[in-house]
Amino acid sequence: MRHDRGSEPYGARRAARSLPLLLATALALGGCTLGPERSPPPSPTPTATAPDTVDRVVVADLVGALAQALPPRETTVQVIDRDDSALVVVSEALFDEGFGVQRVKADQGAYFVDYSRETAPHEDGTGLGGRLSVGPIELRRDYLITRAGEVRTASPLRVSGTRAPMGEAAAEGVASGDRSAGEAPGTGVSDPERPMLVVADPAHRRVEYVAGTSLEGQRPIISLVTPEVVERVAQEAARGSTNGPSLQALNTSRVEINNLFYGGGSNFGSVLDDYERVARRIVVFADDSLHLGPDNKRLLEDFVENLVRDDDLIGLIGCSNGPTALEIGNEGLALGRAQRVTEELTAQGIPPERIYDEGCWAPVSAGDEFPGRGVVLELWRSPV
Amino acid sequence: MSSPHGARDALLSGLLALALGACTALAPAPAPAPASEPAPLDPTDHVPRLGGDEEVVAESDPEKLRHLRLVATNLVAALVQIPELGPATATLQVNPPTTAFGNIVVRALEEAGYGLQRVDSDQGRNYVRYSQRFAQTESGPVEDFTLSVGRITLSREYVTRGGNIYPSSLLEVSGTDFVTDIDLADDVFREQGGEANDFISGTRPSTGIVDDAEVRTVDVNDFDELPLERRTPARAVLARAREQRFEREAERAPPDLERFERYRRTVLIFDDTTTQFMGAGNKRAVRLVVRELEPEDLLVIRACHDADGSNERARAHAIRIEEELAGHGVPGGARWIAPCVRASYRHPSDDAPAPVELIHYRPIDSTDRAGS
Repeated sequence: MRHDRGSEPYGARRAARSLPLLLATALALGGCTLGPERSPPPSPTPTATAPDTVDRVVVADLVGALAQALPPRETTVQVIDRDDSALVVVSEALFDEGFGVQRVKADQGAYFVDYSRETAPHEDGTGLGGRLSVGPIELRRDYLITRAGEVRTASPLRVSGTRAPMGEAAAEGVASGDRSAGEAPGTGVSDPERPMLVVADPAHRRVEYVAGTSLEGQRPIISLVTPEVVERVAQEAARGSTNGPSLQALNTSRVEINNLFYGGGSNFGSVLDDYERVARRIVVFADDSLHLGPDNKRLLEDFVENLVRDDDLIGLIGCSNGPTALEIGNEGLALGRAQRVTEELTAQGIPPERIYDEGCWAPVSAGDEFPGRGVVLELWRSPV
Repeated sequence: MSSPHGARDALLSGLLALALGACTALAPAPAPAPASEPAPLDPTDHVPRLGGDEEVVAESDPEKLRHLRLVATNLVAALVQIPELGPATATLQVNPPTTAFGNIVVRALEEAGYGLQRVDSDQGRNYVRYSQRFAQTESGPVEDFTLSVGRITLSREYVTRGGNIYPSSLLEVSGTDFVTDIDLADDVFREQGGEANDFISGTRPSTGIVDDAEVRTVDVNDFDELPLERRTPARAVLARAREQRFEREAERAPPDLERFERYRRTVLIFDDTTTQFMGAGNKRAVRLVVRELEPEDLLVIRACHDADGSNERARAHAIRIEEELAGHGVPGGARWIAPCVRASYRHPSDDAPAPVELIHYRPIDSTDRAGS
C-alpha cells in the first residue's frame, strides 16, 4: 500500500496537526464509556481503576494516533484469535475506528496487531508503558495511573516505522475528550470507572519518531552455499583467486546480496530503476570500527531532517576494502557498518522497508568506486 | 517419499484430527442428548466477537440457532472456496447484524478468517447481504437462505424435518465462474441423523445449467446421528474449506522454471519445526520481497527439513508462508510451493531453527533468450 504523504521534508512538517485524530480519539474515548455492560463491576475503593478500563483509555489514545498513519477504511489488520481481555479492547477500538479486523491463528498478515503494557510502581500511583504495533508501525507512550484513578500521559507519543505526521493531534484529541465529558481541560475525571486521558505536560503533545523495539536481533547464521555459489567460487579458484572475498551474504533484512566488489550493479537495481538519485553522502568510519560517533550521527540527523521526504528510498552500501585485523573480516565490517547506519536511520523514524542496504568488501582497495571504510548513503526519489 | 499432495493431505487430516480431538477434549462432560432436545450451546457462540447483538440471539430458540448455524456454515464454507473471495485477502463490509441469522452469518465469516469492516450503509466492494425467506412450495414449506458478498451470491433452500434441517436444493451460485469446483460441506447435515431424509448435494450456476456428474444424493439414516458434542464444529468445517482452496491452488501445473531466472533468495527462519509464528524478522523479510515483486514474477517457497522422508511440518511452514504472501496481495499464480526433492535428515526431537527458502524468480527477458 502506498500513501501520498506530501513532498515536504519531515522537519518542516513536524508542526502540522490534523483534526481527524482529535475527532477519532474523542469518539473512541466517548465509545469507551457507552458500554456499561462491558464495564467492570464497581470498584470496592473509589480510587482503584480496573485494568480493562485503563486499557480502553490507553488503546483509544494509541489507536487514534494509528488512524493517522494508516487509513482505516483501506486497511485490514490481523488480530490473533485468543481470549485476552486487552486484545478484545484493542480489537473493538480498531473496529470502531473503521479498520477491517481479521482473526488469525498466528502472527499472520501484513498488519498483524500486537499490544502490550507493562506496569511498574510509581511514587504517585502506577506507571504504565503502552505499546501498540500494527505491521511495521509501532506506537508507544508512558502513562501514569494516579491514586485518584486518573490516567495521565507520562511521555510524548513515540512512533516508529512511519514518518506520517501525527504530532500533537493525539494529545489534543485526548484533551477534547476531557472537555466532552464535562470536565475542565487538564483536570482529569474523577469517576474511576470512566477515566479519561489527561495530558500532564504540553510536551506530551509532541510526537517523537524513534526506533522500534522490535528491531530484529534474530538474524540467522546459516550456510548460504548453493550450487550456484559453489560454481562461481570454483570459477574464481580456477582463475587463481582462491582466497578472494565471499561473493554473497545476507543484509540486515536477511536478503541475499551479491558483493558489489565484484561489480554487477546494485542488488536493488530493479527497485531503484524508477527512482532518481537526489543526494549522496559518505559516512566514514574509523579503521576496523563499527562505531558511528557524534559527527556521523549529526550527519544522518541532518540528512533525515532536511532531505528525506515520504516515499523516498534510501540506499546504503557498507564498505570495507583493505586489510583488517578483525575476525569478522571485511564482510562483517562492511555489513556491520551498513547495519549500524540502518539502525540509526530507523531510530530517526525511517521505516526499515525504505532502506536497502548492501555491501562491498574485499581485503584490497576497490578503487574510486567505493570508500575503503565507510557507508555510501544515497537518497532515491520518484520523479513523479 | 510421499507425493507433495499426499503429504499435504496427510498433514491436513492430521490437523483436522487434532482440531477435532482438541474440541472433544475440551468439551464438557459427555452427556449424549438426542437431537430433539435443546442444544446445550452458549448463545455467545453465535454472536460475532465484534459488533454482534447478544440480546437478539439470547432470545432465540436454541434449536433454531443450531439450524441457522448449520446453514450459515454451509454457505460460508462454500464462499471461502471462491477464488475472488479468499479469506486471506478479502475484507468484507458488514452492517451490525440485528437478527439471529445475521449474527450467525457474521460470526461464521469471522471464523472463516475474513477481515470484517463495519459500515453504516451498503458501502464497500465486498458488502455483505443475507436473507432468510419462508416459502410454501409444492414440496411443503421451505426456507430459502441467501448470502451475497459484492457481486457474488449463494442461495439454497433448506427444509426442516423431524427437528433437523437439511438442504432441499442445489447451491445456486452467481457472480463467479468458479461454481462446480466448490466442495460443499454437506456431511454435517448427515450428522443429525434421521430416517429417509436423503437430500440433494451439488452446485449450479444461476444460468440453471447443471452437470449431472456434479450432483449427488446424500443418504441420511438414523444411525448417522452423532451426539451434539461429537458433531463437527463449525470452526473445523470452515478451516477445512479454507484448506481445500489452498489444496486446489497447489494442484495446478507447476510453473516452468526454465522461463525464469533466479533473482533473489531470502531465507526465513522459524524458531522450531512446529511453530506457525513467523516472528518480526521473517515478516519484515516477506514485506521486502513482496515490495520488489513485479507482475510476471514468481515466488517459490521451498521447505524441506523433516526427517525420514516425512516433510509435513516443513509443509506447514510453506503453507504458512504462502498465506502470508496471499495476505500481502500476492496472487495465486505468482506463488508456488516447490516439492521437496531432498529432505535433510533431522531427528524428530530436533527443535533447532527451521529454514524455509523464499526464492524470487524473474522471467527471462525475451531479447536475452533470443541472443543466447
